[in-house]
Amino acid sequence: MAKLTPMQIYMLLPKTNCGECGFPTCLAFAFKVASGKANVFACPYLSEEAKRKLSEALAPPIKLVTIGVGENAVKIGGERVLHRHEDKFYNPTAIAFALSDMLSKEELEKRIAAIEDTRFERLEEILKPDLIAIKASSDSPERFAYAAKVASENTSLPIILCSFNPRVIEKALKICGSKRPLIYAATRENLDSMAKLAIEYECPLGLYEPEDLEILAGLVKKANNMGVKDLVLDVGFKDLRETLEKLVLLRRLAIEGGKKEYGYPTIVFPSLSVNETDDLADFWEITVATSFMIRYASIIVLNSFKPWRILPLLILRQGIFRDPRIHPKVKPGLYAIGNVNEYSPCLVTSNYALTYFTVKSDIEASKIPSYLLVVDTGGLSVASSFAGGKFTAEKIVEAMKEYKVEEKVKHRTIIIPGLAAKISGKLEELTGWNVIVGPRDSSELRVFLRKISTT
Amino acid sequence: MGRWSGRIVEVKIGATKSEGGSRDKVVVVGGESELPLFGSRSEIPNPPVISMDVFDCKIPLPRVLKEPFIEVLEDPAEWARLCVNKYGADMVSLHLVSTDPNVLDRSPKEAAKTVEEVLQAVKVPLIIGGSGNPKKDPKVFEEVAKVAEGERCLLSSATLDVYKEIAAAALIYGHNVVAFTPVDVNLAKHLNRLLLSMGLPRNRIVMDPTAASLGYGHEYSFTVIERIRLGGLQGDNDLQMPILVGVTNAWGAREAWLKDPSLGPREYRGPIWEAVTGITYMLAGADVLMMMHPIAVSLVKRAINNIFQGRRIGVKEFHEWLKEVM
Repeated sequence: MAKLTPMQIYMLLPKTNCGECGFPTCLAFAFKVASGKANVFACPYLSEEAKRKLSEALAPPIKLVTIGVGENAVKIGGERVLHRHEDKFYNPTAIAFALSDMLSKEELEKRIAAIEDTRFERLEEILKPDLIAIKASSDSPERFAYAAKVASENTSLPIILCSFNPRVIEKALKICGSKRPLIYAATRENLDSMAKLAIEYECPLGLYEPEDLEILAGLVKKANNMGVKDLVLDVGFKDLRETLEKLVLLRRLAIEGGKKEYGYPTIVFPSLSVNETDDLADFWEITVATSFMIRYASIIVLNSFKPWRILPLLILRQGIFRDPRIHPKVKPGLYAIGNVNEYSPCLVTSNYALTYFTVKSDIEASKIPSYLLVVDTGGLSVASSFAGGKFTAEKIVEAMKEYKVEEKVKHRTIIIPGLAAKISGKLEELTGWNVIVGPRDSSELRVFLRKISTT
Repeated sequence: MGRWSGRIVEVKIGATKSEGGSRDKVVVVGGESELPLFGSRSEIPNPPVISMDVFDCKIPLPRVLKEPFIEVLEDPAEWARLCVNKYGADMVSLHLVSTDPNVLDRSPKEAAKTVEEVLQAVKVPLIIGGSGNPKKDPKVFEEVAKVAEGERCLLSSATLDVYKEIAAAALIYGHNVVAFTPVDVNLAKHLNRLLLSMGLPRNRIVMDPTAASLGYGHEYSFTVIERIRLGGLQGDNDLQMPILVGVTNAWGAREAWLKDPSLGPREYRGPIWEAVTGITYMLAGADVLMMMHPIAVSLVKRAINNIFQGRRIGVKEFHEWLKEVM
């Protein structure tokens, strides 16, 4: 279903201009809703019919599915576009680590602890894996249930239960079914019994159909008719290109073709690409996972050895799933880079996060401890904020006062970005400081800082 | 029949003897009428290629990156040979960093000599990179374009500051040009127009829209590459040039080289950083990948063989994996 126009939304609103939604008129509200900047359900007076129509029309073409409960619950799907610049990607690809139920209790606990320890802090966010997949290597209900028990007692991450045997799944659901694990997977053969379990335990259900997309669509319809609405699709993985093409096709059929039966999140297993005789196996699994993440996989299941290998995936995900319309910022302030003292050079830059981190790492590379004064440019880069009149001598003076630069350094020299060279005269005039124009690109800071620190 | 009206221009790099050069083979890039994986294989007639980076003087490199080249770091010709013979590089990108006044300030004549040596050492097409110094690059390119006359190299790069001199050198001596712009679709278009207005034909321009490292603006580069490619496919003539990315930039990320056990061993991090950076740009539409670490090169090659050339790579049966107790 295509997006609604503001007028179509307006027609479904009460048109009373009561203002309770936070906007002065129903029409203004309709425009905000259409552009995705307001939630239509902020209107308290929608008729039942309007509610039904709106939620149907405004629902994302890829259904949003939740796995797990509580604060670690994982949301996948909910996507609306093929390319992030058309809007944004909504729910980051979830990363799962697989554990066999044949591992000893100690080994399971050890692996889970290592997975829980896999956390990195970056740009003020915690990056970490999302799910634990227990696979029924034993095909024994008891053994699998036991592993599920050990897992659910040792991790706060939601669980994927992997088996094609409904009896095996059922036994584990008795243990952890209340925590909304993903049941993986129903197939052509076992759909009836798996769907019943999904309904009984109110869990999302994976559908595995590696051969034929039409048959997959049939399974989706059948599951829907039985009352299972939260589905995760697996198109199989026999060949990287083939699976990537299927993932792209599924996404396009749902978004461009309006085919509801394909509008579900997906799961893939890069772990299948790991071959013991491959010297590059550790690298290759992550390379494969990268391509799946770029082309629309919602859950990626990896082998659980060396969990720190996912760092590049986590960082890729942090970037790709960021809203491309919002420029990430850092807090304005005076930052000490390295072991500074009162004679360390002092540089100025913008508070666009990327600019800040780039300049910071270039200063670090110079090995000359320096102060970096970060001016509030509203998250714009030096070039953009300078052009837009937001990187001015006045702004710098203000920041120098606010962050007490005069008290921190004994010298009276400040280095400004080469791109803002034109403000140097004004800045000198306003501060009485000696203003040095730095390089246009901070990659030259290494040479530049060394040069000025020896003169 | 595809969904787009536009098609990416094919650019030929390198010239064989019969074409007035001395290369053993010519590399053709571009020609796409669809994004990778979005259409049939015939819509992507030329797979992406890997050019391995060679520097003409010692530059600071992370230890893991330096290690495979430790024997050849001071000999660009040997270095190039290693890239082609041992690591299977489709092309070599020779960066004349030493000409920068802030580095060694080597003369254009000396740079030209290095280019000659590398042209003799390997028979693959060449990318010739300057130092990026806007004052020095024009003089360097004038000289090196001359000694490589007829070899149809890719001169990297023309920027908004120095496009005239680089385009002139390419026109006079028969080379192609890389048009470098800082992560901006409109600037990329603008520079292409300027180059075209100099009389440089469309099929002699390759765009470098800046390939940021994973974690340092990667998503901006990724989206700019996708937008450029989609713009070209939608019919914007000024965006229909093939795309080149400097994947070696990945090593600029501290996570790629920092000695920090909490991030995992750096022998893993560096190569995977480069591979992830490269494969993402390749899937967005990049045609030429300048790369460096042999492991990253071999991972990306594997992906190219499979995704673009349809060579299947063995994958485990799901049931087999399920049983495995790894």
